[in-house]
Amino acid sequence: MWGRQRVTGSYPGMGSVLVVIPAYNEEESIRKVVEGVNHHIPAADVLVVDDGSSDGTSRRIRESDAELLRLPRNLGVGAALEVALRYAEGMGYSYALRLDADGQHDPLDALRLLEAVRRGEADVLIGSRFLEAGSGERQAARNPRLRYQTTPIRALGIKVFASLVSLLIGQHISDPTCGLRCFNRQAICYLARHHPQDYPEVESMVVLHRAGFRLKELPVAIYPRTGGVSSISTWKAVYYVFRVMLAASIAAVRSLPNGKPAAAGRRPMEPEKIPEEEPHVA
Amino acid sequence: MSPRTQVIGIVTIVLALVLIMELVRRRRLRTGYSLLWLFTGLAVLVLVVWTGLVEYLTQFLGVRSPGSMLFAAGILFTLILLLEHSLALSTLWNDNKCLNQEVALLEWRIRRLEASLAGEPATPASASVPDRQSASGAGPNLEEDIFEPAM
Repeated sequence: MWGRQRVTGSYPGMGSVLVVIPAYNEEESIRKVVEGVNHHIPAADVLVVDDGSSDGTSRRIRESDAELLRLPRNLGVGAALEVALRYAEGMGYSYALRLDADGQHDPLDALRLLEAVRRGEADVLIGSRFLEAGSGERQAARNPRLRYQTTPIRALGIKVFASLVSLLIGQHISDPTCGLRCFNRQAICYLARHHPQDYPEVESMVVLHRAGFRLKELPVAIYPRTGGVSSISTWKAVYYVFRVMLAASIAAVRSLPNGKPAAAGRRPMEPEKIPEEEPHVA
Repeated sequence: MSPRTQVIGIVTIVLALVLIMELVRRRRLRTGYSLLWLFTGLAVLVLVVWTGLVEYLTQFLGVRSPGSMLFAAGILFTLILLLEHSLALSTLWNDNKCLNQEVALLEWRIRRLEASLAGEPATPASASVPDRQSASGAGPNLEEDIFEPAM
């Protein structure tokens, strides 16, 4: 069947990897991001979801070496990720890596998340720019330009989210808004159906935890945006904070889709065998 | 309530009911939604014609003036209607999201098909996926549509 032939490469002994990049009006940076991923993670396929952009984002994606899902209207990151994960599920990918389209994430950090999921350390790995003693911090120490720049109100918002999520799921979470994440197959299949909408990062952690998935954070570096503007303006920040807190709190008490945790019946994760050598497939 | 007010009220309501029926007849208003408006119109009509009912209800509920009671009832009704519309909008938003996602997936499939019809070679190195099935555990059921629709 034609659909199955799309998986172009996989790491030996590891199954296939799909890099998922939701993009909304990111024509300046999207090609660079895709090139970076193709260079550093050559064995992974790249899927960019154009979330109803009004600029030339779709054209840039077509020019680059990535698959394109073009949503006719802007639906928000949640719906864009949902359709991407449904694609990943349908195509049988074993792992999905999510990166932001603005070039804030380092593909090498993404690889480290992937390795951790692959070793079975958790079902979902999330990057954190606040965890100490990580390579991100070291990198920032070496090069202050890389230190994550943020406005005070945004930093406060993230702190509030972190406390709330940590409280709700009973596990310390330092950076629940980070968009750099890695999902294993079970998490892909679950989120393909039950992905939170609108501003999904914080809520999805609660959703995943309630569904029985194990979460873990790894320190990563966050680069300044290479182009475009953040989808969250300072003026909307306050509204955003309250809306996200409400969504996350509701997610903690909302009735589960099937009445029981999704991961309850799944087989326990076994660490995959890591091959001695890793020849590049692409 | 004076007879004159009563007549004005009855005429207004009848006109409103005719408007609703006409909207349904022209298929501008869905029959399902029109029911709510028709019943509301009839209820108000009953209140206008049978003035004793308002007096009785006002006394029964312990409200001081019939006017206050009617206002309270009207506001309550409006709020219920607004909630109903929010529910309808949520449903529509979800439907819209699913349709957009389906369109994106279908468009991707069309581009794939067109590319393969144009004689482009299938993806390079497409054969090298030995571990995919075993690693995934639950591969796609190829008998069915590989992209299952959302809820």
